[in-house]
Amino acid sequence: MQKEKIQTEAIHAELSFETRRHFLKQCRTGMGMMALGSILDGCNIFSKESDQLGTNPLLAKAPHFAAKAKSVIFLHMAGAPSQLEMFDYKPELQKMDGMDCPDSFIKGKKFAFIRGVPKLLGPQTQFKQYGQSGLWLSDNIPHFRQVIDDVSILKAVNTDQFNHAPAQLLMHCGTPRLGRPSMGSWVTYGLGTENSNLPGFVVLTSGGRNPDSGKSVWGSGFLPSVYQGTQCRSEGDPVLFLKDPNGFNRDLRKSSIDAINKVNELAYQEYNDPEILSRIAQYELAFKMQVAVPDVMNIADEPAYIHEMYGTKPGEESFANNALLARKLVEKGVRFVQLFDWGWDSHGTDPGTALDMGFVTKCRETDKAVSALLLDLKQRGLLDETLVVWGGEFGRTPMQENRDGIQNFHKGRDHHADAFSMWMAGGGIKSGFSYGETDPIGYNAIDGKVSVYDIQATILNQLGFDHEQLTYQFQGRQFRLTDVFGKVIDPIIA
Amino acid sequence: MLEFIGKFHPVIVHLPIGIFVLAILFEFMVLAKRFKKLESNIPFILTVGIGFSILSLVTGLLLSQDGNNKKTDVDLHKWIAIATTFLFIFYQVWRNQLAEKKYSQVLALIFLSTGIVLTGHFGGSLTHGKDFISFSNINNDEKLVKALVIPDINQAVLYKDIVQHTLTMKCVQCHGEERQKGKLRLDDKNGILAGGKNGSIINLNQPEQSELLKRLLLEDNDEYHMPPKNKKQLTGFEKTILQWWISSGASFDTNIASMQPDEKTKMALAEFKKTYASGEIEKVKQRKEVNKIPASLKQDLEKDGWVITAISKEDNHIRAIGYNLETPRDLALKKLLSIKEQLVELKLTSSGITDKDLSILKQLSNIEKLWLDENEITDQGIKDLVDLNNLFYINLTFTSVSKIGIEQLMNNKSLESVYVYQTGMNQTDISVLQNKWKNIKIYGADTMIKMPSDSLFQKRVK
Repeated sequence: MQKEKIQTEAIHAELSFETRRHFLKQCRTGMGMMALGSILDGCNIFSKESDQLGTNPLLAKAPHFAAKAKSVIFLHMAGAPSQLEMFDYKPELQKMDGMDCPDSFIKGKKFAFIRGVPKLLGPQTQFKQYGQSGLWLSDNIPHFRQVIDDVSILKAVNTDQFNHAPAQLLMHCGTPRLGRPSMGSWVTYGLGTENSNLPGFVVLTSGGRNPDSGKSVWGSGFLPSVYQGTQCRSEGDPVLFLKDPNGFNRDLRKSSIDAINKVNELAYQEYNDPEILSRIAQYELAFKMQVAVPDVMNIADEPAYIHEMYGTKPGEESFANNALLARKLVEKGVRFVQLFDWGWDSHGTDPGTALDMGFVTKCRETDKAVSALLLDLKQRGLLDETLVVWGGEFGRTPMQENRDGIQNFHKGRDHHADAFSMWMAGGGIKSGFSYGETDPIGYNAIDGKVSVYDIQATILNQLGFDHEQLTYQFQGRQFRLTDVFGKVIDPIIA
Repeated sequence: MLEFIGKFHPVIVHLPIGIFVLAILFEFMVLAKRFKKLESNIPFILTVGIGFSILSLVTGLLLSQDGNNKKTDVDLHKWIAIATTFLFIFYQVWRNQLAEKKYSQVLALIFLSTGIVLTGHFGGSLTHGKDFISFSNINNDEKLVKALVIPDINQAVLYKDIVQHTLTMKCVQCHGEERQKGKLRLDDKNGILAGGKNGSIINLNQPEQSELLKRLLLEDNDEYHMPPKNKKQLTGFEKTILQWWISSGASFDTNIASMQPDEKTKMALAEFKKTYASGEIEKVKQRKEVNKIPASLKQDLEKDGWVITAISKEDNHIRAIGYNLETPRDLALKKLLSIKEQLVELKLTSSGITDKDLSILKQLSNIEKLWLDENEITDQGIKDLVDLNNLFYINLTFTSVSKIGIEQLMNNKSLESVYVYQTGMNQTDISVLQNKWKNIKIYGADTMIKMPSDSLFQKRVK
């Protein structure tokens, strides 16, 4: 009590020496500094800001070096599929099925749901070798055998997040926290679009839910919002209100948009806010999309053999429909197509998340479409310029989940960040190749370990970017997708 | 300590150069009457210059002891520098006599300037590399790649055929005949055995402790990692092989079969063979350097609906895309003739072009990749594409071309892939042509094989 009183008194005494004059004097230096900062910035004759007006922020741009891939299709299996029932064959784990997990694996580790000592769980399906490459694949994904010689499987990817939302953010934005631009935004910022009638970055979701991390996972963060992902509706018409209202013809639409843009341009000259440029570009894009979208986004017009191939049913919400749409978009020059398919969170708490039930259904729902997508891109000559990436935000444990210490009724696995599988295909990636290795039970990466940042660096590299050079100035420093990490995974590059 | 002083050489050298240039400038200025008053300063400037010049010589001699550079290159720089210093000393001594005859003084000054320029130039070549001042952009690394042929990897001599190849490709640029950084040479057996500044680089008692291996296996961003960060790195299989070579005794003449490689090494060796010694000489496509197209021309083309981008920031060649052409197709295509030299990739997917438009393409001889898919094109139009000598990718999917048209294309030497999905070509046509021309890959339809699981009724589990 006494001490507090003395302290307050001391503060008051100290403040009494600070007059208004002192305050203003100190402020002056600070204000001067700030003013100087902005003046010096204005002196920067190389600044790109000055010539921005009138140029479309989505104009196609050249990358740092010659690119192998021109577009990307990112197939994100949200919820994290089990690598142990798809790509990473572990016969040793089968032998140890039902045994207590050795202490060395769980000591000091944090899991999302596993508590105490869990039991090891062997692969819940059969594996065989396929293709000329002889890579192992599970019976859950029978169609994938046909394209196995076109992909590079990464078996030792690791992340440092074991919850869905932060791990998804890390995968797409390079940080587990909100506020950074997503990969698709970085790519459209760096490369622009090759078809000005369509958005450069399109997002399609299926599985009945958006990803846990929300729409930030395709947000533009601090980049101008013109680069954010355009999410299309997954049921019914992908884009609404494409038709002009009755009595409103195309010319009238054009002149009204021109008038709005003129006002916006004046506003830009006054305030120099890049968001106004985004707005102008978006009005123009919307106008052009009215013509281009009905054609591109309509899968109903595709021939029957294509529907047969993908397993599509127009009008429904399905991964297959989205895969077909992804092909159509890339064919028309869309830069980045991101697919999210929810429902891979196989904890084994109910039949829908059981490895021998719900998980098998998820595999069936996507396997045919994924394989068809690769084959279709290949036969159309698109695969050499399109990079296809498949993966979840993390993997799943070799142990059966025991939520709060009690074994789950169904066979399921908990979130696992230390080692999981992803694959890439096309766009200058080796075909029929496997990189990285996990220990005999698939717990840790023992060889060819790659991080999420390495995946991002590799994707940017295939698009012609040095991931360390693709930066944006924000809050006084240069930001980049891979933060301060990332190394291109050279072994999988053809 | 002495070596440390030597490191100041690159800094100190700039002083005598600057001071001497000033002295020479003054000498010329003094020739004009209005600057006459500067004359008295010149002897002082010369003295200071000579002083620093000698200091540079001393530090330079110390620096040259480290052996980082080829001896002949260093000698050239050294002797010219010494000569130039002495010339300045002579000039200082006999300056008054020389000044009596203006033309002899001017001659002497020109001579001195040349000395400075030459010394500076050869010194610069040592630090920046010989090709620093050069107009061609040929990457030096490429020159080292030699075609390596190993018919049977088991009969190969591990050191001679494989390990040395790796060292030559990734290390010798700095540790070889030209330069010996860290006093290390890795270009032959003697160099490897001799080791570097810190002694032996191979430790047979503790192979894992061998300096040669330790440096390679360090984290990439470690200060002591080799090769340095911005140089070409060793691949995983090269590291595996090198590790195996050292741990199995670093022999210089054993062949692989007698060493019994384990599974992992076998895979690495196979990968080595596939990458470097498959016997196929890789086609190196080198484009001629071209000028950037003028911005006005680009804008003009964009008005027609073309999307024009450079291949990269370093390469001014052009990729042109015509998804949304606005003017008549033949006019839009004719405009491309103005970027004929730069144009290497042309995408005309469903752009509404027809056979007669293709006659314009005939003149775009630098085209490497061409997309004509989803257009009304027949065998008639293909004739015009026969002479595109740089073409290696052509997409003709969803057109009306047939075997007759494609056959004409197949004699094109540069061609690598042809896409004919949904054209007049059927599966038999494709296999007939594919058998005849094995170097060109013809892509037809990829059909999905039906899986038994397709017909299984899977109830969706919620």
